[in-house]
Amino acid sequence: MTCSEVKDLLSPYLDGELDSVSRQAVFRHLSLCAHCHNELAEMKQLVKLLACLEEIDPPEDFSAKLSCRLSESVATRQKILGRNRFSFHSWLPFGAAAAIIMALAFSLNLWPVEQRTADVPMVAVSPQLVPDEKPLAPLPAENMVSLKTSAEGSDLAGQQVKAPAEMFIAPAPSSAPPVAPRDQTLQKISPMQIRSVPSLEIVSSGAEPAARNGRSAGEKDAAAEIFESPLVEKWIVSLADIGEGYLRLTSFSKSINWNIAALAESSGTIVLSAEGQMEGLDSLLSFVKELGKLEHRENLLPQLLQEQKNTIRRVNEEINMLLDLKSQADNQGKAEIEAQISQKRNELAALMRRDLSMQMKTSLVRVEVHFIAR
Amino acid sequence: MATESELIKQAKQGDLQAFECLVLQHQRQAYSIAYRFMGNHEDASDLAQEAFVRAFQSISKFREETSFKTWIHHIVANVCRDELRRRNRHPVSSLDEPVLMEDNEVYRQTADWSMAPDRLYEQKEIQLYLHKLINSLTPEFKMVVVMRELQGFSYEEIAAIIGCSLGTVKSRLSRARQVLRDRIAADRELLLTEARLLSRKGETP
Repeated sequence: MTCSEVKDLLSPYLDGELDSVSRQAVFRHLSLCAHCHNELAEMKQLVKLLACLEEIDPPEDFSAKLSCRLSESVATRQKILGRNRFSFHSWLPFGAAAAIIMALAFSLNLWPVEQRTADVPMVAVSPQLVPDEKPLAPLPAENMVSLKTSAEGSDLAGQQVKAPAEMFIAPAPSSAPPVAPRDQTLQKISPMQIRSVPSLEIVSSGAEPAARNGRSAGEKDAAAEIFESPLVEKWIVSLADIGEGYLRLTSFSKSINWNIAALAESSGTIVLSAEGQMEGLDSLLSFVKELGKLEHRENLLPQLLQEQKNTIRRVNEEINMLLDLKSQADNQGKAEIEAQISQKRNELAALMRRDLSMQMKTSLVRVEVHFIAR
Repeated sequence: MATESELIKQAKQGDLQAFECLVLQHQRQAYSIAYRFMGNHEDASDLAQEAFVRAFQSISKFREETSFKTWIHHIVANVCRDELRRRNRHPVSSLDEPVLMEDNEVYRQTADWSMAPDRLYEQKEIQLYLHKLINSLTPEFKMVVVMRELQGFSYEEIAAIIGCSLGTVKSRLSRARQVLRDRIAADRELLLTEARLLSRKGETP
């Protein structure tokens, strides 16, 4: 055995981790080679030295903070278990109602499929309306109204312009920065700011966008909230303990500034919604892969970007159309059309901002995670 | 006073107070280990707490084949491993961390190192020195060194926690020890030279 071969074996030799053949070979070499013998002595000294490292006292607030976190985890667990027991059933009637409404919408042709795809799929999905078997079904209410808007918009060419109430679309606040801020409190407001789908609710109720965003009020209630950012991925993960998986995913996502909410639960499955900045997506995915087996992964981003492009094109066309109309309208009509144009331009600006932030990965996105018990 | 196994039994039934009694007995050690893994008090505090929260969440799975202490040690190592890996993917630079220069690592701050050799062996200095020494290692090396030298895990246990082969543990620990030994030798040399310079200055005022 040469010195360099022995050098690499000294450490396991010291720990008694060599097989007998190697151990004897090293032993023989050491008895003949003063240099290697010296190296071993130095390594022994190192191990002894490191063993001198003393324990240190945790900071004074350690126990109090830990106590808080433990109580929190108990509360969260009880919440999950409690919901598991009761709410799946209490959601059923709502789920059925949603299914009926959707079926009605389709059969009455209120929901033109070709237009639906052109619309931005940024629909608030309510957990009550959407049980886990149809976690992705769009909620008609808001969507349909905005469809109505665009349908009437296209009729405008042949009519005297008399803007229906639905035409007044809430523009996204123009103060929204093109890049979502990293600061956590600001970040929580940003989904509303980046949101580009016209929300008639805001106009009619007069409520401030921030007031609707109750999420900033308390992170603990995140599970009861619905994320509004676009859905970019769906993952199905099988794991041994879905309750623990949920808790671990929650604490991990906190560390990368993502929020998690449980959408629906039944025995053996939890459907989670996760929302955060797109750049954290990869680390979330690798964490999920560590938690369990990724059975299925669906990437909705390309489709989403395409739809976004279509929407931008559509809004552009609408603006052009309104500009055409303006040249033919009388004075009162002109003012009304101008107001609409400016609304549309705001909408377009918000869309472009979102497109940009998506490309820069600073956009807030949503992932749907299905945990299935093994 | 309830024995440890009684407390574990109660904690398994969801008794938070019993678990907090267990925490009190082990928090110093858990915190110290987390501190060596992470290198600073803030992270150590956060991750040691995280480890105890996870322990409470999965205490029903604790089969008592090992001691509670060993079990907690494993959880602390797992939690710190996750965090170190996460940081490796999204590196953040801090003053305590070494600045990597190809294969060698140098400290951002070297002022603290200019201590006389006799003082090096003062207890407080040596504690600080050793802490910085461990903290200067890359995460891979640091993990094996802390698990082996401070937590006393076997090679098999380390391999299981890191998720690598026994051979990898062997070679990684060997290389980490060589790095540490070389660094100590280099520091000793530096300190001796400084001491010589200092004493010469003292001789010729």
